[in-house]
Amino acid sequence: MAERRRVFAGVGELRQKRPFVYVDRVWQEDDALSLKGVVTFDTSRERFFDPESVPGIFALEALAQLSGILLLRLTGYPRGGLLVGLDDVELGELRRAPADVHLYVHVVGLSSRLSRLRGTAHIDGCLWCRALLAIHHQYAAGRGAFGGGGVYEIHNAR
Amino acid sequence: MRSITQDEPRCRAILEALRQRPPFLFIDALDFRSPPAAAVAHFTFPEEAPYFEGHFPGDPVVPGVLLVEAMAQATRCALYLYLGVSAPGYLVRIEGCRFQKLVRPGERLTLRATIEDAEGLTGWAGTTVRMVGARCTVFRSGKRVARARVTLHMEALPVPLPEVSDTSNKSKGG
Repeated sequence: MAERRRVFAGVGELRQKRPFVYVDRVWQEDDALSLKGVVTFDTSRERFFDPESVPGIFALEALAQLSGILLLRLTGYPRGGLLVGLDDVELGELRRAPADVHLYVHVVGLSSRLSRLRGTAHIDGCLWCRALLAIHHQYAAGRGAFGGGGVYEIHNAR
Repeated sequence: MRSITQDEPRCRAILEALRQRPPFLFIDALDFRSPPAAAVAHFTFPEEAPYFEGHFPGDPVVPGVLLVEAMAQATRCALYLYLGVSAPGYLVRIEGCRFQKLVRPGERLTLRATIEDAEGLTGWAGTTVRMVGARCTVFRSGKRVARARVTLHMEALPVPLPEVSDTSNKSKGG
């Protein structure tokens, strides 16, 4: 399978920059609607939470960022999108750093404004987090509509 | 409602029970006259917080996942206020979470967490709390900016999550 993997340079395209980047490497296999990635949480990582633990919400942020990279490729919108909804989220046991978190997202719905993706995060082969994410594109398409005053509304995004 | 800052002993005691510490503590005041089974808390994301360096450069926006964490912390405050339960509580489930407006640093937020169901709860009488569900809402100037239903597990989970979908298998081996 290794020869079928294509490593993206997509992390640099994210609007998020350090210290708020939670995807270290990404790659795609034969399915254009899915993407894999990995992020390593260690004691040297970002400084705004207990370096000994890995808060589960950062698994969600990592999945959202991986979704953003995939949507960059699929939609052509320049910034990937904005997380506007979370459903069916389950988080496993508290994990301690260091930990390599293996991420996977795949598209389950795609429209001009809103996409939905299912994502999973594994540590040591065990499922740690799963979620259904809703990503809004039009925020990403330009700041004029949504970025200035934060006036966009998403109701019943599911 | 009267708002009490974290400088006051009672509020400080509750926030210390949360275990989170700045810059990962997202409550700086509590209303002690909250409705039953609820907590009303307040927080302002400081402009100098390190995460705004990267989210996003030149266009700071409060990350949605930090709003979720704030809602979970408000739920822990509700547990403490309502039942006297100060166990850490781990976020294990999120449902119906919607981020409806952008939140910027410096904006004063009000977090309301209302406990809807709980297993094995009597708190003050000494019964161990195991699972707590709460409906949470974040307001800015009286208007809702985010909502979610969160579930906390009041003990460390003994086992990893079970695999339930075929898609989750695909993420292995990455």
